[in-house]
Amino acid sequence: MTLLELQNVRKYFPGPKHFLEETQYVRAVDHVDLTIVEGENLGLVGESGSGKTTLGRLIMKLHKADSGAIILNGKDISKLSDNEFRPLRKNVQMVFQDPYSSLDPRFTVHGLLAEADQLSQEKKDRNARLEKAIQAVGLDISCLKRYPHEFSGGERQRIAIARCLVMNPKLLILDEAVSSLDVLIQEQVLQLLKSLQQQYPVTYLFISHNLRVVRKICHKIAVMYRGKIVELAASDEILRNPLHPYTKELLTAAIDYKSVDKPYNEPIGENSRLIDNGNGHFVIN
Amino acid sequence: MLNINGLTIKVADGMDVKTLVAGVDLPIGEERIVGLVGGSGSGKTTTGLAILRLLSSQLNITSGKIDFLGKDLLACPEKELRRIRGKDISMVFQEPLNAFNPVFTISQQIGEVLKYHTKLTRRQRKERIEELLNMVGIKDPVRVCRNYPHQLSGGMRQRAMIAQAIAANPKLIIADEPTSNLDVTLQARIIELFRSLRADLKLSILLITHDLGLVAHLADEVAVMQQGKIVETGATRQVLENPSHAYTKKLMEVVKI
Repeated sequence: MTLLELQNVRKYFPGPKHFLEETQYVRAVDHVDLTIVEGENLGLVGESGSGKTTLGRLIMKLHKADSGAIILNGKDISKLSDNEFRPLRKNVQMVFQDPYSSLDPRFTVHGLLAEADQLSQEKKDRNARLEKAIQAVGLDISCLKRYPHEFSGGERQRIAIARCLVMNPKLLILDEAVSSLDVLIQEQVLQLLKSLQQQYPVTYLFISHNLRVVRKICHKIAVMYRGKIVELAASDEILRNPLHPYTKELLTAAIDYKSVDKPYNEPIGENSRLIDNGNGHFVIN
Repeated sequence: MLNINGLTIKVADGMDVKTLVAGVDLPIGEERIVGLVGGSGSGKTTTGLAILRLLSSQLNITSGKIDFLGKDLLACPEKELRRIRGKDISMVFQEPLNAFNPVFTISQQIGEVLKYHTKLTRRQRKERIEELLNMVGIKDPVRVCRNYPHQLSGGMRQRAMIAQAIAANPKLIIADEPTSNLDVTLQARIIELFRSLRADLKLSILLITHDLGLVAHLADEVAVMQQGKIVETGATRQVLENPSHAYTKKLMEVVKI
C-alpha cells in the first residue's frame, strides 16, 4: 500500500539579493516525484547540497513546499495549515544527524519520551509504553531516569529513535542518523533499526551520503542530484548496475575511495523525467 | 622517524584510576602513512594528541617515550616543543569549523604559522599562502584568503586546514578523522590530496580513523587499537587480507559492501 506520494514537489530558496538584479533561486527540490510503499525502506543518497535533507523536511512540513502535492495516507498534507497537520504529524517522525543537539539536556530520558507520548496518546499506560520503547532500542529501563549527557553518541541516537517510536509513526525519516557514529556503532544501530521493524509497523526513509550504509537497510535507493532524482531502483540493482554517471561517481567514491577525473557537473534539463529501463530501474533522461 | 614506546596514559576517575592508553608502541617511518584504527573510546585520538603533548591536564602520561628524530618529546621543555608544533609535526582535525578561529580570515590563520616558524616577509608570506591553497586544490586562492571559515564549504575548509598543516613543511602530519565529516565524493578527493602531498612533500602521515576502508586505500601500515592497546599491527595489505585478531575481523566485516 502506498504510504507517501510526492507529486511534482518543488522548493526553491531565494539566494542573495542584489540591487536591480533578479533574485537567483537555489533549486533545493526541483519537481520531484517519489512514492514510498509501506514496509519498503527507501534510501535517499546524494552529495551535500543535493537537496535530500530539504526533501525530508518537506515531508515533515518543516518547510512549506512551493508547489506540488505531498500525499500521506491518501491526504495531501502540503495544503493543510499547521493546526490541521498537527494531529497527523505523529505519523511522520524524524531522527536527526547530531544526537548531541537534538535531545534537550534539561529533560530526563523519561521526560523526552513522555513529551512525545503526550502529543499522541492518552495518559493511560504511558509508563508501560515508554518502557517498551526504551527496551526496544536495546537500553535498560533504568535509563529513563538519566539525562542525555550521561550517554554516548550511539546510545543517544537510540534514545532519539525511541522518542519517535512512542508515537507509532508510519514513516520514520532518518536524516544522516548514523553518520556521526563510528563504524561499529553504526552497524549496531542499523541492526537495531532492522529488528524494530518486526515490533513496530514503521517504514524508513533513510537519508545519507553513504551508499554502503544505505544498502544494508533499504530495499530501494533514490539518487538525488541538484534537487532532482536522477536514478531510482532496487538497492542491489543500483549497486550492480548503476546507469547514471552521477550514481557511478558516488559508487566509485564510496567503494574504491577514488574520485573521477571529471566530476559530473551537468545541469539536468527542465523537462527531464525518470524513464523505466526495465526491472523497475528508473533513470532520468 | 617518530617512535612511540610503551606510552601509557591514565586519568583519575573519582577514586579510581582509569587507563586510557596502555603501553602503546608505534613506529612511524619516513614518508610512510600509518593508519591508527579503532572504535570510539579506544584511545586512538588520545595517542595522537599525546605526541604533541596537547592532552588536557586531567590526563597524565605515566610512562613511555615518544622519540622524534632523536629527541624525546615527552621530556623536552615546553619552549622547545612550541618550535616543533606546527613546524615539524602538525595536525589536521575532524571538524575544521571548530579548529579554525572564527574571527580571523583564512590567510591570517595560515599566515600565523608562517610568521611564527619561518623568516618570510609579509609579501612573501602572502605569496606562499596562495601557493599553499593552490597545492591543496583550491582554485581561487585570492578569494579564499579573504574569507572567514564559516564562508567556506566543508570540503574547502578541510582543504584550507590541510594547507595550514603543510605551511611550515612538516615532517609528520597527524590527521585525526580528516574525512569523517565529509560526504563520500569529497572524502575521495581529500584522500587523493593526501596521497599526492606525501609524494610531493615527502612527509609522513599518522591517519587516525574508525574507517578501515579509508585505511585500506591510503595507509602503508596499520595498527588496530582496542581499549587502549594495540591488538594488531602490520603492513596494511597483510592485516586486511588476513586479519588475525577478532576485533580487526569485526571492523573489516562492517565496512564490506
